[in-house]
Amino acid sequence: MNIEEYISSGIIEDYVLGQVTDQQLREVDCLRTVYPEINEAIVILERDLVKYAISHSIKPDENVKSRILAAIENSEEKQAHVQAPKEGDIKDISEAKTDSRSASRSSFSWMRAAAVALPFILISILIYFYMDGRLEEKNKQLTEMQLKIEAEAEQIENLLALISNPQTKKITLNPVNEQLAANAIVYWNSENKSVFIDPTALPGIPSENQYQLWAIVSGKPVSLGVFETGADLNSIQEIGKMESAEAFAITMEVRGGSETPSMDQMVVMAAV
Amino acid sequence: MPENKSQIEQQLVTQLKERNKDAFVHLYDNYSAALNGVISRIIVDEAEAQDLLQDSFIKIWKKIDTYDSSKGSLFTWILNLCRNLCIDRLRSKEYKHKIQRFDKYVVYIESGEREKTDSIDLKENLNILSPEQREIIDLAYFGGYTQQEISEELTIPLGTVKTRVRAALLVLRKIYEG
Repeated sequence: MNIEEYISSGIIEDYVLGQVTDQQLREVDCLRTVYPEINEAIVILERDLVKYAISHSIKPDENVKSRILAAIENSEEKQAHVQAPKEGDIKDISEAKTDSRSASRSSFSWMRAAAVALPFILISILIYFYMDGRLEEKNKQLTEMQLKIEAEAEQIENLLALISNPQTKKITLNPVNEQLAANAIVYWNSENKSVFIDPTALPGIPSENQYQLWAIVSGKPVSLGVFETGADLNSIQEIGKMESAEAFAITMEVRGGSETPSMDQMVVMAAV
Repeated sequence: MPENKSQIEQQLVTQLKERNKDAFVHLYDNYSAALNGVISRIIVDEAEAQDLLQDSFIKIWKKIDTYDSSKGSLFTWILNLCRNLCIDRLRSKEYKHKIQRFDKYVVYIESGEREKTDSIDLKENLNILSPEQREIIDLAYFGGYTQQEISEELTIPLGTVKTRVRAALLVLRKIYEG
């Protein structure tokens, strides 16, 4: 092969400028390893073009450098999770450099730390706000519960006071129908004439009905009013005042009560 | 001198392959301006050019293992890598090459509007090339145009493209012979 002819054919220029076909590329790739003259010609031309390129140099912004270095750090970190550190990395860490490069290195670790910490910080802030909102709700709930407990405690106290008061008469109203396991308790304060009803042992009834308490006075029924039933202490309620009574009775009426008792709907009663 | 330079380059390559970050910083300090200049020839938008400079260096870091010193100098490898990224970007976004961009650049150099590094001599030498020669080298070398594409772009025969390219490179050869 005539090397000089080949070189001056212009294929080297095309090769260096990347303007050859794939086949030509492979051809030159191969020939340059065989003929040092061809390789030399290529290298010289490349050098010229490199100088040509450098003559257009423009210094880039400083921030580009830091962005690139940060990106490298990032990808290295990801790598580190995948593979064990290579010897080169360990060498880096143990080397102590006092020139400006160590300053830039510490700025990597600062940025790296920031980059790692930032998501955690953000998450923490989010959690804080979320929890803060939740805490408010919790506080509200607790306060509500507390109030409820206090109210109940007060009621229990009142009830105890009522029951233990020597002036209070406790009258247990027993079921008219002996089969029914139920009762009601009337507490009657002989001093202030207040009447309390404890309906907790009364059976539940349809919502269109309601229990009504009657006092029998001079043989005639006097209404003390309707009341709601319930299983808790709240249901123990003051229902009215009564000067005197011979008996108490509870009937089931239509909701809202009735003017006269439905005698066949009497549930419990007792003589005083 | 050339031996020293090549030795330095060899050491740099070895260290880069070992993932030595100082070596990478050194690479950036020494080559970023040149790459930036090349990119700026191809990509007019400054923000995009910055992006591409960034992408180029990150790619260099990631792909350094694929560099084979028998296939050419480190700078050539870097340059090609960078140039290919630019061309891909251009092709994907369907940028329009405008020849006058290159002409404008000649004006830049003469009026020194943009900052350059270490290349006053080289800059002056560029003026030895004729505008047509510069144009053709830029299209080929920076723009990645094939000779066919250049022929169409400049509406000159393919043969003319070939001879002009060779002439230009010979001029460069003479300029840098020293």
